[in-house]
Amino acid sequence: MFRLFSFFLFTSIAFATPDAQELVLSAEARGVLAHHCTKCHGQQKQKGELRLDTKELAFKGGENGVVLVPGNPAESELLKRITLPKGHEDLMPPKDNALEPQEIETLRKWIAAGTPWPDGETAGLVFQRAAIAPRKPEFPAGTEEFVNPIDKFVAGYFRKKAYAWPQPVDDRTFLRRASLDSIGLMPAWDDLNTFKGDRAAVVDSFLARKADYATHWMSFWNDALRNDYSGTGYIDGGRQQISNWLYASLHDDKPYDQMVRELIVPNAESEGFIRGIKWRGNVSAGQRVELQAAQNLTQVFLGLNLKCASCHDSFINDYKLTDAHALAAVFADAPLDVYRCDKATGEKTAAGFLWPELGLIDAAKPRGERQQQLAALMVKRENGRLARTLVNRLWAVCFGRGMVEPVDVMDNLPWNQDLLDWLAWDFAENGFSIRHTLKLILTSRAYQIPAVAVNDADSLPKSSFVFNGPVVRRLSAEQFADAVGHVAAPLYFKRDFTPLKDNTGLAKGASWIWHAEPGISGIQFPEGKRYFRQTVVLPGNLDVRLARVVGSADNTFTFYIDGVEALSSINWEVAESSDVTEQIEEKKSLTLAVMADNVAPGAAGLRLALAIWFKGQKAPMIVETSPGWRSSAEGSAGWEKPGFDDSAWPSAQVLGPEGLPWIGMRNYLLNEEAGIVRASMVSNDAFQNILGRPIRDQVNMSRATQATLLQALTFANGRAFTNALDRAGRKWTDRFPDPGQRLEAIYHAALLRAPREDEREFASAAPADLLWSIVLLPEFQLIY
Amino acid sequence: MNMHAQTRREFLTRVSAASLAALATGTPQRVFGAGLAKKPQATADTVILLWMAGGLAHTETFDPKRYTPFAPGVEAASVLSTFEARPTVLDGVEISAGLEEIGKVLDRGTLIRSHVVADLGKILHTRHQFHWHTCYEPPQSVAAPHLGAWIAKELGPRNAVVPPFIVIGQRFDRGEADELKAFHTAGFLGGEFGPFLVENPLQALDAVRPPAGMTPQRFEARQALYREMLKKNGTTASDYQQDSLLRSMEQAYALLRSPESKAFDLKLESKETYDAYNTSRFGQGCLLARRLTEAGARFIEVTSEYIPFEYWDTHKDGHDRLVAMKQQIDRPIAQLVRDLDERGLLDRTMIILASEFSRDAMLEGAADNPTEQGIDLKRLPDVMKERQHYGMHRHFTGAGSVLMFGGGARRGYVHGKTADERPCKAIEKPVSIADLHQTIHHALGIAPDAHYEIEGRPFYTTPDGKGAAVTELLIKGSA
Repeated sequence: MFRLFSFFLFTSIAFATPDAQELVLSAEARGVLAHHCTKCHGQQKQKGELRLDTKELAFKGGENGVVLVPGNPAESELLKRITLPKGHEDLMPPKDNALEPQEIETLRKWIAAGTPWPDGETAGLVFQRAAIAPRKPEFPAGTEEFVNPIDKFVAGYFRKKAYAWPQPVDDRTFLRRASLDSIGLMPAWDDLNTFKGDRAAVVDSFLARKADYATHWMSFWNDALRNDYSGTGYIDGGRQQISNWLYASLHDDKPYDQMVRELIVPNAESEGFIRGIKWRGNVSAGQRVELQAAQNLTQVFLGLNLKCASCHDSFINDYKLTDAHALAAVFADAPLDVYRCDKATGEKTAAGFLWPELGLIDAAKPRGERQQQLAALMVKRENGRLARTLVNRLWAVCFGRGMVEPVDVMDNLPWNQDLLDWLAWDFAENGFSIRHTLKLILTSRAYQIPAVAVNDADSLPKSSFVFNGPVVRRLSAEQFADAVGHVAAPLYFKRDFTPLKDNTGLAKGASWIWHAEPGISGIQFPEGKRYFRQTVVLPGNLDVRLARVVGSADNTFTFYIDGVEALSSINWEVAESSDVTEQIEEKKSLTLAVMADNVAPGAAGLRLALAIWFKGQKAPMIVETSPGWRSSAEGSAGWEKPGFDDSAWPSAQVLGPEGLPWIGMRNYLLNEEAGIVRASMVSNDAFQNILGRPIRDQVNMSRATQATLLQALTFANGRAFTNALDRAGRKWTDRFPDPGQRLEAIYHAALLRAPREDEREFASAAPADLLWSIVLLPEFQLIY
Repeated sequence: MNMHAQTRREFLTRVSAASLAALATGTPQRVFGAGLAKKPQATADTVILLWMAGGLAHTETFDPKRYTPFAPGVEAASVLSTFEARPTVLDGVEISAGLEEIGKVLDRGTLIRSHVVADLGKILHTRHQFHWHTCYEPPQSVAAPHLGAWIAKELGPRNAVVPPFIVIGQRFDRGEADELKAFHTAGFLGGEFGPFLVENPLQALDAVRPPAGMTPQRFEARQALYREMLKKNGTTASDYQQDSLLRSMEQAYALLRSPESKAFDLKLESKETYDAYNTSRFGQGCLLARRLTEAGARFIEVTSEYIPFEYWDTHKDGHDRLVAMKQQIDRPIAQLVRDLDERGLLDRTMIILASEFSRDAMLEGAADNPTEQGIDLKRLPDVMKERQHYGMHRHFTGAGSVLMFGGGARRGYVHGKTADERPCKAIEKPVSIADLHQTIHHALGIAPDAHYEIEGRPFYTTPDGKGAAVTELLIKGSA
């Protein structure tokens, strides 16, 4: 028991304590005292000669005698005084500051339990503190049958709770869960159909999809590092993105300790985090950029709240105004002026670190070196808090509730200390690889327990929580938008952030072309429609697996495959892409034809690329705009059809590469993975915002996920949403003219199952309405 | 799904009875003794905020000073007002030319001439707007809620099928859009209390009716299909995520087919009434606000719209621009006051007209400590040579005018006073933003210490609960 306790307190002091539950109760009760009583009954004031901030003095009582009778709430003066009727002159706290019923209840329980209060604490140590040192606990005995270490601890926990392991979820539920949690996407029906049952292997395959993985986790880390592609501060240079750095770090599974180091000692691409958001004009002292840095890095990396202590000595933890200022001073060019509640105290703070037992920061060193020192303290193995905070966040993402809640208050007790400690230890031991820990979680049997419905959201973070499986979650704004994009039609067409890595996309070799005009060598052409053709011979012995096209034209274009329209765009700023697999399947040759329209005299150009993947072949065949295309200023009858004779058409003129105005077109991408523009790569818009994507002016680690009326109104009549479903309805009708087959295919795509017998009647519904209803079903919207 | 429990039918029955306010349950933030102080007696049920975005110069509108007509060579330092003062219905109270209609209804409200906003240093309009709307200066370490979100959270909807917090007239695709988004939010209170945004009053109906092109039959069929699918879907209730989804889907459906949704349709007004308001999108917004007040909205903001260098944000041609701006606001505001009064609604509806700060021809920033001209502001000439120089082209935080009508606001009362010579700052009874918010909350019956706990910190409607209701502004007996 002594060992257990040493984890809860930062200074380990020997004393006897019966069990952890009482310790929690004690901390909660003393939290109530700290919030409401010690202002008048503490170090500064001792009204009625009573102090409630230390054990000895609290039990001693005040001028009227003892106030706490252990085990006897009814006889305890303290409880009597806080439960007097409203308006009674002896009611405590006085005036209108009466305690909430649950706070009174906490104190009642605490007294009834014998007023457990650990010995030896000083006045300053009222709040619970978690241990900092890492720890590798032993596996619980008798759990040899479990392979995954997570399951060994959960098995030990279940045994204590006399809880039996439920059967794991079926393949469909598992695939859906694991895919959404790793890469943010709904699995395809084919993924389920071809699934052989090896759950570890499929988790590996998801995590190996680096671009999809990075794209999905951008949302989580953007929330954490309050990074976004638009937002306050950018307008006058008061803020910088870290998107490129972040995407690359996630894509390559950069060790987390290195990520933290690069955020604290930043390079040009990662400095946006620590530099904070600087608004024009004066800001309150607690929001100076140095204090933003201190608050944000402790919240994100250590699950520690320094926000209160940035303004005054905190009353929610033990940190002082000077602690917050000392940490902020690491990032200051000169000693930092101390402000209490926005008023200068006249003091200055030198740089320092919260936990001297980990090491010190030499305030005399220049700023750069201090940041180096801070980074070293943060990431050193002795700082177990760094790893615990991160693995708890990953757990919370995958299970819907952290081992510790709230995830930003890591001083709170986990529901299983050994599991938290072991996962954190293992994470550090394995090179701080986030993917390693994710794999461990996603392949655990604990993760495969059927989801638990939660009746009361408020109960979830409470310390009385008992783990018995992942809780039901809702798709995030981004997951929902992407899922609608896959099942129905894309909601987004233009990325606001394109990772540099994607500039190696398959379409990069395509040339900008236009129809040659006498005397024109630049890109300024007369207005009018121009026609382009190219014929492609396909290898006859290979089956097409996937074909995608991307294209763009100034101003507009329509693209045909064998005379059938396959892609069009009316916006020259946005490249369009499409899956054209079905139009290419079982063809021996293709006629590609484009009508492009320069709607007014001026810049004109066309760029297009088609990639065809064949079964059994890794590299795709690429067809791209080039001098090999023929062009014409006249589109006579049948010009887009395969049989048309274009032998008289001249070669198209290649523009550039210098001086092209469309170079910056960021969404001109052609990749096997990038089927749709993912919501995490576009700026926050009304749709995502209403669905819970936060405005990232602050670190935000807990999105509200329950549905609201504003969401439902957006679903019911939002223009982009409704249009996408209408488009999708037409698409599905084209692909499956037979209503029964269509219903089946839509159920496969959306719900990963066939319609049940009594659901077959929905085949007669309008396809767009069917899709609308399906994506709004809890079965679609929830992760279960 | 691996969940179980009650039947769909049971659940839907329960849902249809649920009020919008019930959605407030399940918000992640624990209520931590909100409003322990005594709640004041409410004198208002609805608030209409008329937002003069860009900086309404008090000396050009509701607090006229010595008039100096334009002539080439006039010294800027001599120009306090570019409009003549005009009498109003109130004896001895004059306001600027161009606001005669409002002048006729001043006896039904209160004119505050001593509103003083904080000086935040170098001016950024949206930062002051953030401050005015949330009562908190940006940046904040947690997301501060808009005044409308507080009111929606504390009081809930007045009518279950009308969104409690509506903002009319602001577009979010231009100018400082991201800075605007930062305070058009319920912040930590949660999305349920966020604003229902109506960018164009003439298209307001689109937001509350079936999608364009969808027939009523198809709309009904779609909902019927959805319900039928739910029934056969085999999913269950008993999970808060799922419950909130089903509940809100039913509520949206109820709103879209409710009689109240007609309140969003300006076409239902007579031509005469429509014309009385139709000076601009702002005027149309006032008409929409009147209709929504009748239908049971809780908090409505109608903004003249903030776009940098547009509307009230005058950096040149100030005088001529204000002639046009006054034409936009004068008739509709007066008409709104009259219409609500005639309908007996003004007594319980508080209309507030305000702006992020005032303007001056000379001074930038605070009255006593003007900041230097910003580098992005063109150096303004000391001598006005051309007509475009004639007007209030600098930002002034030393005083501002606010109008209040109804909802317990005193009738025919002028509060506070400004100096008659530059700086024309507030010299009597200054009213801060926190005071103004507390006054609004007071009128609505919201306790002055209403607050929630977020990240362990109590977060009040005003910073640390500061500011006090200015009881002089309110009808005696309501204070």
